[in-house]
Amino acid sequence: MTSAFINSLGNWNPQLLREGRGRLRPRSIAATILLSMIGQGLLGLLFSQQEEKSVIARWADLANAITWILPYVLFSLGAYYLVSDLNQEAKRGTLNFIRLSPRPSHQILLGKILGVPLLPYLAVVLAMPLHVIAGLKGGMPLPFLASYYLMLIVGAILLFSLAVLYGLISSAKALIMGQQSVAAIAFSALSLLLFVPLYMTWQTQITWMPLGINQWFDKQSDYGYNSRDITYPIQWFGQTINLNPWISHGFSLAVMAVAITLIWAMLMRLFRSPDGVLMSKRQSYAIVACCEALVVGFLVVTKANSFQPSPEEGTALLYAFNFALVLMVLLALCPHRLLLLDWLRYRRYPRRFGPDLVWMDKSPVLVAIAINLAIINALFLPWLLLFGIGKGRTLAALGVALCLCVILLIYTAVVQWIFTLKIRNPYMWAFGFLAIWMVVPATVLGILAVPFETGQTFSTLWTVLGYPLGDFSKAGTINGVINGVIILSCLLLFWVWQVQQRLQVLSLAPLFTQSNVAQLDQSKQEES
Amino acid sequence: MNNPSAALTTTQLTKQFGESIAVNEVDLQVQRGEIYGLIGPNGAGKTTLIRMLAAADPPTQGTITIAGQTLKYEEANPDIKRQIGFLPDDFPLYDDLLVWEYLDYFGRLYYLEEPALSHRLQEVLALVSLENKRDSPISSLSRGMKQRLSLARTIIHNPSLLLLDEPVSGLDPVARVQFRQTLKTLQKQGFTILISSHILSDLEDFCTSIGIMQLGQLVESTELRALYNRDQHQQILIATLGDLAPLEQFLHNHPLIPEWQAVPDKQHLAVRFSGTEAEMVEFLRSLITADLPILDFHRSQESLEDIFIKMGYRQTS
Repeated sequence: MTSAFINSLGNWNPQLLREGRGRLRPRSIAATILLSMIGQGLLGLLFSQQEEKSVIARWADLANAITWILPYVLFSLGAYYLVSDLNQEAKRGTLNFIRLSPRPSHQILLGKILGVPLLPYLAVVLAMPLHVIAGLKGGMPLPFLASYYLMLIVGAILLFSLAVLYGLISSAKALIMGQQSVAAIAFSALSLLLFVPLYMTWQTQITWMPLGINQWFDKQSDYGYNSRDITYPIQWFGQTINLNPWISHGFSLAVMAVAITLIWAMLMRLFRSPDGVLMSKRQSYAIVACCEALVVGFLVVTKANSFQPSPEEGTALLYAFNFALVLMVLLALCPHRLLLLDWLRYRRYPRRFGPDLVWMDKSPVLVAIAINLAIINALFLPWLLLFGIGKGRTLAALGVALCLCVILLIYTAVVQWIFTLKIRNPYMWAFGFLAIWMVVPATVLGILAVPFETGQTFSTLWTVLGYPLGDFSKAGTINGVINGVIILSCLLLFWVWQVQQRLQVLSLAPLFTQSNVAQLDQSKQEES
Repeated sequence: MNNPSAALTTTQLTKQFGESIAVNEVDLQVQRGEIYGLIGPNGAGKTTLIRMLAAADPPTQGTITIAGQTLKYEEANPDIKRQIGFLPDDFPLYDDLLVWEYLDYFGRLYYLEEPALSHRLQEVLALVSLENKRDSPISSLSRGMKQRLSLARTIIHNPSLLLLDEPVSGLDPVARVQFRQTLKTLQKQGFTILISSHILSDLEDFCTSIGIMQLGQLVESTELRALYNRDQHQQILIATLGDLAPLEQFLHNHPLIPEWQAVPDKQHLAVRFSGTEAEMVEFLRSLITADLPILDFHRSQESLEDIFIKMGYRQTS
C-alpha cells in the first residue's frame, strides 16, 4: 500500500504525510509543473531577446531575475497556504483533534511548515536547475549560489514559523483579520511588501556582501548598482559584520536562529493553550532584550561604520522602534478578563503577589511591561547619552527615556483596564484607543505646523502625546519635556488607580453558579 | 475517592467561564469496562465535563485521573492521551482525504506503525461497517457514515477509555440503530465508555451506570439497576371488564399502591407499585381473590426518561 519510504516518513511525522497526501494530488502537481515551466519559459524568452547584450550578460540577467523572484514566490505563496490552512483547520474544528494527539507540538507544527507549502517548494525546486545553470554561465560566484539556497531555507523556516504563529492567533483570537481568506491574503501581502524586501536587503548588504555578489551585480547588471559604493562596512556594536564571509553568515544565521527560537517558544505555547496569552512574561523579557540589542547594535556610531545617523535621526528611529516593540509585547501579554478572574479567584499562592506579577501569565501586565521598559532602557539610555540627543544634554536624554516609559505604562494601564471590562471584542477597543491617542492629536498638530521645538508649551504638548522628538538645542524644549513627563506621571497614577479599582471589583464579583442563577430566578418569580 | 481499579476518576472538578460555573466540583468515578451514561438537560455541563476529561479544555480546579495517572493540562501527557478516544458532537473531518488515509493519519498520530496499523485499520473499518468505503473520498460519505468514520478514528489506537459526546444527535433512525449496534460491539470488546446523550432510550439499552448532571453538578451517579430499584419505579397496567370503580376502590385500600391514574382509553389503570417482585405476585393473587373482573395485567418498568424527568423536577423545585 505504501512504500517503505513513505511509511517511515509517516512514522517520523504523520502531519507531513497527511499534508503530502492532501496536497500532492496528480492534478495539483501537474498544474504546478506547468506553471513553473511556463514562468521559466517566459523568463528565458524575455532575456534571450536582449540582442544588444552578450550571451554571458543574458545568462547573468536571467540568473539575477530568478534570484529575486524565488523568495517572492516561495515566501508569499507559502505564507498564504499556511495561514489559510490553519484558519480552515480551526474553522472545521480539526485542529483540536491534532492538539489532543499524544505527538509533541513541535512535530505537528514542523509537519505543517514542511507539508502545507509543498507546492511552492516544488515550484522552487523546479526553477533551481535553470537558476544554477544561468548563474554559472553568467559568472555568478558559486559560493553565492550555495549561500543563496541556505539562506532561502533558513528564511523560509523563519517566515513560515511566523505565518503559523499568525495563523494560530488569527484563528484563536477575535482579531480584525478573523476572516480566513482575509487573514491569509493580509499576511501574504505583508510578506510580499515587507518581509521579502527586508530579507533581500539584509542578505545583500550583510550576508552576501563578502561573497562578491555586489561586484557581480555591478559588473553584469543595468539595475543601478553601478552607482553604489559596493564595499561599505556595516558594524554591530563596533564590530564589522559584512566583510568576512564566515562572520557575515554566522551573524545572519545567529540572528535568524534566535528569532526562530523565540517564535517557536510562542508557537508551542499557543498551540497547546489557544485561550491563554500569546507569550509568557519570561518570553517577553527575552524577546525585548534580543530585539533591543540587535537594533541598538546597528546604531552604535563609529568612524568605520557606513551607517551614520545623526543623533536626532538615531533617537527618533530607536524611540519609534521601542514604542512599536512594547506595544506589540503589550498586546501579546495582556491577560483578558477571564484569565484575570481565574488569577484573582484561584491564585494558588496568594502570598506570592510580587512574583505572580513578574512571572505568572494570568496576572495583570503592568509590572511585566515596567520590567520590559527597564530592559530597554538598560541599552537605550546609555545609547542616548553616548550617541543620541543626550550628548552633552543629560536632562534631554532622561526626559525622552522617561517619556517613553511613562506613556507606554499609561497605554498599558488603559489597555489592561479595557481588558477587565465585559465587552465583546477587547482587542478592537484596545486598537481603537491606541490608534486615536497616537495618531489623531499628532496629525492635528502636524497639520497646524507646530513642531516640537516651537516653544515650551508645544514641547510639553508633544511630550504628553508621546513624541518628545525634535531639536533640543532650542530654548525651552527640555523644560517642556520635563513638564510633559510630570503631566504624564499624574495621568499614569490615575490609570493605575483605575486598574486597581477594576481588579478589586472583579475579585469581589459574586460567582454566579448555574444553581444560584436558578435560585435567583425563582426568588424573582416568587416576589412577582 | 481515588480508586486504582477505576478507569476514570475526577475530584472536585470545576470549570469556570467568567462569573459562571459550567461544571461545579464534580466527583466522578467510572470503573473499567463500564458504560457510563451522562444525562442532563441542555446547559447542564455535560459537554464541558467531557471536554475537560479529553484534555481539550483546562479545568479551573480539580483533578482528573485516567487509568491511575493524573492528567495535567499544561503538559503533553502522551501516555494518558493514548488511553483516551474522544468523539465530540460535531465530528469534524478532512474532506480532502480518502477514508483509509484519514484513519492512517490518526493511527500514526497515536504511534501505530505498520503492519499493526494496516491490520487495525481493517478491523475498525469492519467494526463500523465501512469496509466498502475504504477508498472513497470523505466528502462523498453520508452523515451517518461520517459519524461512524469518526467513531473509527476514535478507537483506531485502541484506547482504554472512550468519551462520546452526543454521538447520535442529528442522525436518522437507521443510522442511530447502526451506531447503537456498534457501541454494543465495543461494549463486548471491553472498552470503558462514557457517553452523553439526550436520547435516553438509547442509553437505557446498554449503559451500566448513569450520571445525571444538572446546573453544572453531578446530582446522581449510580448503577442503572440501582436507579430502577431505588424507588421501586414499577408500573402496572390493569384492565377490567366494565366499570373501573371497583378496582379503584380496591387499590385505594392497598398499602403498596401510592398512586394510579386512568389511561386515555379509559379501560386501563396505570398503577404505580412500590413493593418487591414477591409482593407483586401477592398483589395479583389478592386481585383475583377479590373477584374483580380482570382482563389484563401488564407489568412495565418506568423508563429512564420518566425517572430523569421526575428527578429533574425534584432538583429544580
